[in-house]
Amino acid sequence: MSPPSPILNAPPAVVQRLPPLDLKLLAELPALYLQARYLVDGFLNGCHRSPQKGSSVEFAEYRSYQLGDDPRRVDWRLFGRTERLHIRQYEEETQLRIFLVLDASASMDYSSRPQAMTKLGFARIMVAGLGALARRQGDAFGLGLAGPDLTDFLRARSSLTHWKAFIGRLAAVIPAGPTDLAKVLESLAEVIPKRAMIFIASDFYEEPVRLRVALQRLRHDHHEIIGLQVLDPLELDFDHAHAGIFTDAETGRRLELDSPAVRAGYLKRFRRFCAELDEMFHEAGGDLVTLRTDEPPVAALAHYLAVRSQRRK
Amino acid sequence: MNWLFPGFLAGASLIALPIILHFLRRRGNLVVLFPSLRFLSETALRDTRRHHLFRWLTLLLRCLAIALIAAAFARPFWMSSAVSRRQVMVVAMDNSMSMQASGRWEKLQGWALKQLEELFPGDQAGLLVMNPAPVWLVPLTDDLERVRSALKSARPGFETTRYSGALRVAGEKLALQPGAAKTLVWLADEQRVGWRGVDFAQPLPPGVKIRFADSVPEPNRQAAITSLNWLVNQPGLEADVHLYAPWQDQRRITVSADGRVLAEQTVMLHVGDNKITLPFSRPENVDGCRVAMDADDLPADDTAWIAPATPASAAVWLDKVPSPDFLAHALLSTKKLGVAALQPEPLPEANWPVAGVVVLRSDDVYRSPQVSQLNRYFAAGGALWIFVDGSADQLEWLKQHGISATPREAAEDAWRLQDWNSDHPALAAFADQSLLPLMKVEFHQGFDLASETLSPVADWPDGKMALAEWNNGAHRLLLAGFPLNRAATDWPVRPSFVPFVHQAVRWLGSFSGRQTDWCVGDTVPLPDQPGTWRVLDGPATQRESKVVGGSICPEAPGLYEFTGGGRRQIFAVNPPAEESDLTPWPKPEQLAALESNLRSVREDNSAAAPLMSNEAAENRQRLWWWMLAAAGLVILAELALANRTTT
Repeated sequence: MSPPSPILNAPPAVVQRLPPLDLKLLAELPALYLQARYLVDGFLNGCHRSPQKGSSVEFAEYRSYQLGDDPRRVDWRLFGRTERLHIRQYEEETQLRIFLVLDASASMDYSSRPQAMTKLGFARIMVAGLGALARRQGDAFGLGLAGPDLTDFLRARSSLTHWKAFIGRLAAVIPAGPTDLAKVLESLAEVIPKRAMIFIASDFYEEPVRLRVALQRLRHDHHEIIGLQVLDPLELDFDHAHAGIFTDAETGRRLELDSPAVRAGYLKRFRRFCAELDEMFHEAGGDLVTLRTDEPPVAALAHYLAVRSQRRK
Repeated sequence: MNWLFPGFLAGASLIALPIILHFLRRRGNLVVLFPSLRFLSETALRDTRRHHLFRWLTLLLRCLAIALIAAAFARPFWMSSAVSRRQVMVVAMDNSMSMQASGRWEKLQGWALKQLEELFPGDQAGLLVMNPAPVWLVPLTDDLERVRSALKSARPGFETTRYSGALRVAGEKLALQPGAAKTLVWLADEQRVGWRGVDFAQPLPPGVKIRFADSVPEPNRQAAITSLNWLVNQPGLEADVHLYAPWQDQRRITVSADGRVLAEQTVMLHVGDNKITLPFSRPENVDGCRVAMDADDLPADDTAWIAPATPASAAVWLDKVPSPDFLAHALLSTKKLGVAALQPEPLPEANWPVAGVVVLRSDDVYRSPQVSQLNRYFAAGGALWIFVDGSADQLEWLKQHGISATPREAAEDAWRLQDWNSDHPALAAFADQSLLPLMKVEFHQGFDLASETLSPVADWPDGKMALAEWNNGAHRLLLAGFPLNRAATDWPVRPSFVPFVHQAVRWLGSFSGRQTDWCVGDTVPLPDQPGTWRVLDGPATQRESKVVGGSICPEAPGLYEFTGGGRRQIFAVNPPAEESDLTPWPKPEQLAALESNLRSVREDNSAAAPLMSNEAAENRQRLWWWMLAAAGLVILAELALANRTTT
């Protein structure tokens, strides 16, 4: 079982109290770290107002005394009952390793409205925000950039230097070409030494069979996987009113289509894909959170975390 | 195609509106960047193609709907010669008794109504009743509904079938309709007796088509009481019953009077005539008897009436003429009839009896002193039959009464009388047959009669009156514009002479009291003085009494009473016996040949020009209605299709 993290322990009440996040402001913030901080502040503000102070000082588990352990941590009462030495471990003492994977394919560089955030921009802020949140709580966080392969990788650290490198790498991401996400995840499984929590921010336009194999591989390595499916409203609703020549952002393929005519078929196939993806993550012991680029990400994320917290209890 | 209001066609320009909207909406060259086309594959392409097709179809339907509505408002119509010709249809309705046979009237009436359904507004139709003489029940009219309702409410009567007159009247009327398609609908059962006297060699006028109905139901059981006579040597009746079908039939015959059954008898009838004696004691003071047998397929002729027996002779006063006296011989021959026999008597010197008929052929009576006797007799209402011989005294006497008789110039060929007034009671003897025997009589001497008070009975070939009636209510005079001798005419040796003389004298003398048994269609002579005529028994629907005088033509059989001038007379009126024979005309090919193969000149002239107004042609076709209906369907289809293209 992976150690509990304050990130994932937000109670349901938090979700309802989250202040509204100004997406426009978030998009217009000049630097990624500012955007990440704005996002995290928004999230934590809700948490701080909660009567629950957090549970990082709560007892986590016993383990057998080992040479080198501080004798003050020995539970003598338990020794009196069992005549064995056990060390009390607290939750704040467990450090979580978080890996954040960002899909940098061309399909992520898409926004259906000129002034709105692209999927990549939205995902980048999400990833940066999660990194900031991890750093604030002292957890180690790493980064993987997904392209045709694992194009960039940062090991999990929690230092300030690491944070700066993390932000720098994220800010420098340039979307291009198709992504082989399955291959990226395979590569990631090779380079992550211990079990970790892996956030994958992508649209998951991937070959389902291969993606399923990759996710199963991560599950086999005891990683916890959370998919952040970032989608544009047009992808979700397909409310394009006119006919036109549709161009694939990744392959450049063109189709002359009449949107009203194909909408029903598109939605049917797209929803089937989402359902299949959701099932794939559940089979891999993880979760899938769908995020719309026209809605504040905190709400969806907090909602997911609340549901997850309830599920753990 | 023509248009009644072509201005509305401008509305079709609204078609441009959906076309413009279609192309404005299309914008198919807009480039849409999309993250992935993996969900927009070949299926989407198919959907798009189908959607394009639907949109084009929708556009087409919209344009079609607008065009149809505009066209409907413009009121289109075809003006081809075939369509534009209006139709004129005459339904000649056989209302004779034979049409009462079971199933005939209903079938033929339905058939005729179906023929009328072929007419459109603007066409004309008329309803001609055949019997007793052709009469327009509804003259040719545009009001087709009036014709239909008249036909629906019509019922057959008790008349004898006469086809020739109706055929002629309907044909002539139709021939007068210019440029129309003329149809004569023959609502009749083609009874053999009806076609008698029809000249099949002289077809209908050119252009007149005649339609016959399919065969009518044949009777399974048919018998008729054809005559009733009182027994001479014993109390009772003798009934003549004719059986037509089947070969043998058992019937029960009942004699009744005033609601009491006097005799009943069950008889076995054989095909043909059957004489049945019905002995019974006749109560005193009964008005007549009713004889009925159980009903068959034609119930109308299963009942007959007989009036009380009356004295069987009447007097006719003849002036003295050189032998042979053809008229006296003709009158004496009526004694063979048994009833209604006439007794010729020499004209007395004085005190001419008013209750008789005086026949004058010589000029002696126009001279004094007998002329005073003549004037007194005539002034008293005595009936006269005068043969004009051209003597000065006779012409003077006629002139005093407003009548001129001008001698006709001698001709090499003999004259034959024409235009016989077949409705005249004096010709009743020929009503059931043909007037041809009368038309064959030759004349070598004659006088043209002229008077405002004379009504023609027959004319000379040039249309001048030859035989005329003067009947102003107070006097009854039959005036023959020829002398009755062999030098002037061969009529006395012709077979038509005796029946004519018999009937004419009966009519002149109003010897109604002598003959009391009549048939429907007969003109029953009555005294000139008005009296009350009422039905005592019978199927007549008109039960109320009415005031009549001179004569009456009963339309239904039954027992009738006439009361007038201090006298009471009973008349038995029976169905016409010949009408009971339902046998159809044996040569249907002759009926088919009634149509002329010639085209009328008038028809040829009229075919060139449109004969129907635009409004009438349009009103007849009503294409606008179909166009509006089609537009409605198109709009419904468009709605269904548009819903699919906007999802």
